[in-house]
Amino acid sequence: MQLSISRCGGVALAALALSVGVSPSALAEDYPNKPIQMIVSYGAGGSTDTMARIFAKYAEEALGQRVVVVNKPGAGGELGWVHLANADPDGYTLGLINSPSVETHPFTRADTVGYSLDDLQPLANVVTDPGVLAVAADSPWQSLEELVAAVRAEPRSVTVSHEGVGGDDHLAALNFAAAAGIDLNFVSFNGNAEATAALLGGHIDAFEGNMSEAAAHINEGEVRGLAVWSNQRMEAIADVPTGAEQGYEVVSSASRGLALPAGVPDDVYARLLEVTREVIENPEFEAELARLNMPLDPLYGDEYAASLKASQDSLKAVWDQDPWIEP
Amino acid sequence: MDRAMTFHGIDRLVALIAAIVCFSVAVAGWGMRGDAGVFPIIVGGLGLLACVWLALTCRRAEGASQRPAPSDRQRLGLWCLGVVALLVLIEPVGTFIVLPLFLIFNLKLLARLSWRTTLLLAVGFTLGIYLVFARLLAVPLPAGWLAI
Amino acid sequence: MDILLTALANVVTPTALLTLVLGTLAGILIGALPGLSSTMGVALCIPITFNMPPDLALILLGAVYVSSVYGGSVTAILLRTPGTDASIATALDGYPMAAAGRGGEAIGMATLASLFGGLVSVIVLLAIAPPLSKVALAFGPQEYTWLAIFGLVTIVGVVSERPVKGVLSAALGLILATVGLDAFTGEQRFTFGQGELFDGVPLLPVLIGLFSVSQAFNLCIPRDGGVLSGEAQRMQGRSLPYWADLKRCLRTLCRSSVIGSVVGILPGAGTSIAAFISYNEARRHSSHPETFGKGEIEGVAASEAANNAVTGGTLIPTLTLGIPGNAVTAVFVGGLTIHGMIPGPSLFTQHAESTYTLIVSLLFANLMFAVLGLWLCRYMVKVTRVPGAVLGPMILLFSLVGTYALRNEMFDVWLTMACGLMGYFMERWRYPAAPLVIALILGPILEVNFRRAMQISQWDLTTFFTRPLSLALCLLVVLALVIPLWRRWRQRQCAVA
Repeated sequence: MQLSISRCGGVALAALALSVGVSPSALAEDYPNKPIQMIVSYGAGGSTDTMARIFAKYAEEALGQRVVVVNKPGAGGELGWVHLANADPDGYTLGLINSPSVETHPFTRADTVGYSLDDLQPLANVVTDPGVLAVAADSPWQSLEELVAAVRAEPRSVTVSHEGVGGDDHLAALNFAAAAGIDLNFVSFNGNAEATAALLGGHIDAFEGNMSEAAAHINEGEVRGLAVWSNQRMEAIADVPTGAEQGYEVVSSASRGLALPAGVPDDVYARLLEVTREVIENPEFEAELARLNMPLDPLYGDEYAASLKASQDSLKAVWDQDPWIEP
Repeated sequence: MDRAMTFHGIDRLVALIAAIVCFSVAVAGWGMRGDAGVFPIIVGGLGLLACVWLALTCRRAEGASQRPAPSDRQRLGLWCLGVVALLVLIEPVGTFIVLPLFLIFNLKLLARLSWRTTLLLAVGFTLGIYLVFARLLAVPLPAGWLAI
Repeated sequence: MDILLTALANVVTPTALLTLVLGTLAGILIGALPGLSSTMGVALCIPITFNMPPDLALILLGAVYVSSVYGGSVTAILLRTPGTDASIATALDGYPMAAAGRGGEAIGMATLASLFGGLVSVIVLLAIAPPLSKVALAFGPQEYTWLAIFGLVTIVGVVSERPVKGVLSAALGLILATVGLDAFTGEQRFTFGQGELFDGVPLLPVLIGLFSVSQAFNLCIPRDGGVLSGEAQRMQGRSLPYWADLKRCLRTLCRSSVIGSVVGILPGAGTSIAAFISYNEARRHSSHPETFGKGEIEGVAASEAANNAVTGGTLIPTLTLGIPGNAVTAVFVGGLTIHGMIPGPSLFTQHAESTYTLIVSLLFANLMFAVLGLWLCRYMVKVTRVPGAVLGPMILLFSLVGTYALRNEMFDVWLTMACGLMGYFMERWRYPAAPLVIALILGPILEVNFRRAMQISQWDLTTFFTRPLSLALCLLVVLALVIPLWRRWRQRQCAVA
């Protein structure tokens, strides 16, 4: 009796083992033949995660396989990127990479960082979200000029929020301060929500963040955009002038793209590139992102890789001269 | 392991260890750049105060001369062995092999159930976890040997 | 008014009601199972809602959210494994009640209190959300600093018979809270080069370890250990509280619902803080404060009414300003944006129908979990009859899988187990674990806001006393410190005389 029952258990276990997924190794001709993991280095529900899930929805249709979003938040994206860099380069793991953080961690955390850009094989940039400097609607300043004048009259009197030292918001505000030759009083916040609350409540004077986060508040009229740090005005907030229009040549943005672990077979890479292009060029995909105020900025393959490298080099040059995190 | 000690002794030991931790935190805070060290120094100091307070009052406290209830060392050992084995093996061997084995180990050795109930519970529970987490919620639990 | 009727019509369709029932059941389970939390429940549901129509998706997320906060009370009472930080305070009196054979009654009271708190907060959300959202904005860094200190003072006073042990436990929690990459300077504090620690010690593994895993240790190690000893295992009595108890608790219910709603509105303050403040207030106003912590039904009522009142409260800044009140609503915002609804004032104009559908569905979700809870109560109490050595490994495995699912890191699982071992010895050696967890939640709020206030005021400490709201909160802290000392002094005087 005992024996037969333990055998039953064994059979059940074996059945379980089979159902867990016995899959042949990746072969390019039938790629993809199992679900693909998409690593997001930020938490579920954030803007990167939202974009990833929308992309995954379209990519699933194009690939005919499930694309499973896996959140690996932590260390400003580093945890997820280390995981991505160390994953099997078989095309069944891809991930979202966020610039400039993905470029800056390797040199700002040189002692401890667990990946380098060479460990990643960039696939395509999807979204470029320009930086925005904004003030509350009841603020006296109508333009950058007036803000700069106020700081000149009383140095360090203006408090500006950003989302963490070394992030793109902090770098944008630093660049602006350098361009204007002023000294701003930076206040660090954990994420956009807290900073927006502080701005609306009048606890800080100005807010530096990304357009996708600020656009809703700007269009509602609760917040006034003083400048958008892009080359031309953005559709979602057409009334906000660029920095250059006001005489401050500052360009800054946060980008979100896709990357694979380095060493993916060429035919798999080509297939993924094709699918990515298909998704990005799908007007429905673009419309869905536009509703979230995320401007599409496609850049594929080698071009994308080259732009990441170039941007890393220029950031590194700035860092070597004047590190934004004091050593 | 703590049978030989009274609560008075335990409190003194805790105060000593905690004081060392708090002191190190405060010292490390002193060496941090900018204002990063301010909070570690404050909370380390707070912890040190609490340790001194604890060390001074633990003799007078109610029940200071009592000892913790004796625990079954053999069962504690078996249980800890099972948990450590579970943690060590889960990644290389795989969640859905180690989970039922852990359950069988515990239900048989600690709960002393019959083989029939043990196996039913172990397989049923594992299947439930598999369906909810791996299937429905797509959590990538370590697959181990089953991944191939 | 029309919009409310439309919303009502959207909720009482068969599919919507079915979604509501499933969401509520799932939420109760998520909350009740040790190792799964509200945040995780909502986060894990996001991919499922992705392919649903927006209204249904919101109904599902809302139902999971409110019922998971309620569900935490069930296992907090019966097993003393609070599934979420919201129900730590519930376990203080709920578990002693279960141990005295009154588990059914405790769950009944928890259910009714949750319903009461939930309904009050949803009505507040429905009626006066926009003006109340101003409250959220009035709180600046200075006010948050005082609020965090107030929370710490409260928790130390609530749990320990010897305050010094509470202070030490809280200090250790605050030390753990300093771990991680400092957001102001980029300094790596106590991370030992571990990338997993850059964002700080994650809260949920610590919470689950200290409460659930340590309870698994307690259940497995004694030879014939059960959740409850002796007779209490069998007789969990009636599943509804006595009418007299309910009447006695009415004031506490009202007070706790208000506290919960207000604390909920403040972004970042947290459910557990509301529960502990309410618990402390209930004890302070009670004519027999000494019964608290020993199975006082009013304690269960206070904690549960408050933590469910928080659910509606947190949605106020989330929906009106786009500023999520806590981790759960932050995930909620993601769920909204995926369906093209950007939280903010436009929700009440452009997407009014969906928004009001969500709010009305929350009313239904509250009623639904109460009905399901009261009905399932008689079955749920049977869990206490399962032998400890059977329950223990299962609690441990749920905790393991649950913490792994948080961010798919084995590190978190190891951390959970280490905290489980620590929790086991803390209990054995009579050190309270709750202050450690609450300090870990409040530590970052305290530090970040303190330093932010310092940055804004350029290191002028008077900034904490010159703002009216800040000064009021400061007085509250002073009162919270002085009143217990004064009472003790008076008691001593009485004893002498």
